Amino acid sequence: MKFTVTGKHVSQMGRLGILSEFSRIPEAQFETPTFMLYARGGVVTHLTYETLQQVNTDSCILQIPFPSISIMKDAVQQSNQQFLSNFIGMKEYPSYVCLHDPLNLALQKNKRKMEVALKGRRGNENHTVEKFISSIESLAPDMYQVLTQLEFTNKPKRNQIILGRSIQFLDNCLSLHKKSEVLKNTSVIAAIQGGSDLSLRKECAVQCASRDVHGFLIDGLCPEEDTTEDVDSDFVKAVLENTVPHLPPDKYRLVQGSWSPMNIVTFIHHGIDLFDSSLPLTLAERGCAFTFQYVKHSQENSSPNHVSFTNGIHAHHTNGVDSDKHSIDQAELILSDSSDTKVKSNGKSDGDTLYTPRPYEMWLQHPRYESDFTPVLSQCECYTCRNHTRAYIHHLISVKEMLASVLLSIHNLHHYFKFFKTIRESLLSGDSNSYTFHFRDSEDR
Amino acid sequence: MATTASVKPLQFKIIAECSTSNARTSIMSLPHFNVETPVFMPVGTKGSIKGVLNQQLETLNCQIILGNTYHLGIKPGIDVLQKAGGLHKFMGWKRALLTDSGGFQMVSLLKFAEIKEEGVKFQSTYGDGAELMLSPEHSTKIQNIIGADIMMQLDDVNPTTLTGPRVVEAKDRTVRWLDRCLAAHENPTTQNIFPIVQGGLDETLRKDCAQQLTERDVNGFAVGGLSGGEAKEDFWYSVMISVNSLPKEKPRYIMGIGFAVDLLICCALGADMFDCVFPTRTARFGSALVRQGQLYLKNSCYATDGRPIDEDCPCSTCKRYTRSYLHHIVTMEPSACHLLSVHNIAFQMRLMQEIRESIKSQTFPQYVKDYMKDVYPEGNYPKWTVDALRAVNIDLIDCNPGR
Repeated sequence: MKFTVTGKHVSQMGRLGILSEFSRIPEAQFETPTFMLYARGGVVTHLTYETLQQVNTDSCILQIPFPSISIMKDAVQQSNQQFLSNFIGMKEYPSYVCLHDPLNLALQKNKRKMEVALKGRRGNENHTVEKFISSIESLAPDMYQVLTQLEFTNKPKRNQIILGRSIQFLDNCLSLHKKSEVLKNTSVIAAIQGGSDLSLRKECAVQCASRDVHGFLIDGLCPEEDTTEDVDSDFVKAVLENTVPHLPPDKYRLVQGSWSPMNIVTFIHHGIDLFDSSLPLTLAERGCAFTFQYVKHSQENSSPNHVSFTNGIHAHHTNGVDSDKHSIDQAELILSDSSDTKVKSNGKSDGDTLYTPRPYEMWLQHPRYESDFTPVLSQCECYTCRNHTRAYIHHLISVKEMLASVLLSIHNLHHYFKFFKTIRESLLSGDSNSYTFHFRDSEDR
Repeated sequence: MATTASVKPLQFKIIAECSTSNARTSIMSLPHFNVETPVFMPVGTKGSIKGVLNQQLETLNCQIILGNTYHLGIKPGIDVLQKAGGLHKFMGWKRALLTDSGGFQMVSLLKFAEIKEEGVKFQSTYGDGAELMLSPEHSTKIQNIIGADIMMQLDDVNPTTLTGPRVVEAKDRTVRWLDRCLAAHENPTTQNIFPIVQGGLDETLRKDCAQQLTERDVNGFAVGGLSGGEAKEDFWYSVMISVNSLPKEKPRYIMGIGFAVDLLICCALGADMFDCVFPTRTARFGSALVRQGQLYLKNSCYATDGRPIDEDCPCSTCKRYTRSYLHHIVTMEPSACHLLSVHNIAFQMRLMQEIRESIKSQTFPQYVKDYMKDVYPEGNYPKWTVDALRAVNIDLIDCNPGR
């Protein structure tokens, strides 16, 4: 597999690239920044190959959490399918096996120094490097993340120990990887850790950068997967500024988990190339649809309620034209007081209490949609919006029909693809600061 | 009243009849679709078929699907359905629809229901303490709002095996309720009401009921009160009695039938329409339909089975997924349920397609024999299948001289 940087942002670290030359599917090509499809157990959650085609998009890389498929290793090996992607019925799609499920980290206590405890479908399993690489050889994915311990702690000493082990795991995995005939065309991804300690992050990046890997996962950014959406962008920026500059520019960089669209833009402006579809799925499962727009700023789309979002900072614009440094700084000041308090919305939607949707989503379970016979987004060209109404989806959610998650997954993935396409256009235009987020009024979410 | 309608919302044109048995194949033209019969109708109780897109249903050649009046009347409710302009528009389904009357819930939710001459009083099962009075008029009104091509009369249903005066009462009340449904029907040019033959397992009662129903001006009939735990001997005999008492030139719908062998035999007896939740319900438990019966994919014998569920099945699941992979995701991933629903619906649709083709080519008796041989390779046919088929001149035993 090959990664080529095709365009670089002038003032920032953001860049365009192409992933290509997958040995199994030479014709496949992916423009970055892009996202991988979260596929627990090898299947895009709520969708099938057939319904995934309704998302109207090109092929995509599948992100498959190791604990959800480790159980399949014998079956893959004994089948005549040769590769994980073939076994799961998705041969056109490259598969990337990540170590942890970004939507269910399920961190276990590691009992031994050089073992990693992972919660699989048959309970806890301890993995040595040998056992792990042997599983990867059986599964034969196109890309995988190396074995490493993941721990969230504020103790500097503990962090230092974890980091040391992490490098050791990496080196041990790589030495077995290089000896493996089966894995000679498989991409290896190293995990950059270090918690919230910026100097450790930097050290880890420097160390990993010197290893023969194909890409880097910026790992361990959020200890609780269900709060990822509300993580403060300043922390994200600080980590990236202490990590990305130390990584080789010709290799790709990943971030996993359900980050807000605003943080996604921040990540991309700081040089991240690959994400996952945790967020579209998270929304679908809470009965929400993406409704935000990310568009080039111009006179005609300046509406009174439009909110601009640049590098993770909310700013209400009065005339919809300016996005200069000055106004951003002001917005930064206004928000600085509340930046530490996470906007923890009521994530559970249990009937009586109304959920407060985040700015980029519409909560279709709200009673106001009971008789709303318009599509989720009138301009959207996805299967869901072309064929169904808010009222129908509202109904499916309220009677707990599985079709609700199917229709919302289709819309959200379609929307997310368009979002990334726009981001790539913004990078290509060299004027990404003039692209802004537009959100619906709070009474229309 | 339906008598004043100039154009009937149902035209039934028999294309071919089996020269041996009573099987026939027809085109049933409904306002929203020309349905080929014999037809199996998947059930979309609450306005969707378990995670399957309408487009997939069309690809699978589903021509008519079922909605459930009782459930739809509670949620989304008739106000929303009225504002939406009916269930077709509400759920984005362009082909034909059939709604039941809500009467079936008398049996399935009996502890919540009270049956009187006026109608059936339900306690809502949605836990909101609401009461719903389902009278023939109200059922008809809701079904008029839902706007299905075919509506069912509200009937008085008993547990299938019940005997005694209550069965007689239910049969007579069913006829009285039909008249009230027909009188309340507001869309006789765009929607049909099918009466329902009741009468338990009593031949005389069934014949009498069918006789009275055929005197009304209706475009098709249903046979109810069966497939509820009665002996298979009683089941096929009651189907035969009922079907034979109904006019040949109108469609006959046997309610609640979905097993392949039952479908074959009912077709041989001259029935045209069937429905059952079985194919999609069994999919949720990880069970895939094949000619020989069902594959319970969770079973460890499929862990490394690299074949599709059915090598001859043209469905999107069998084209891509192996038993081995499905084994690993069934009951774990919602997508596995969707994959099996698609296959199981495809299985039903293909069976009906093959039945229709064999009737057209006058090979239906042989098709039945071949099918039964696949299901019972040892030739150990259940007695009721032998008897039922013999009643329509298909002899299963003769094709097995070795026995």
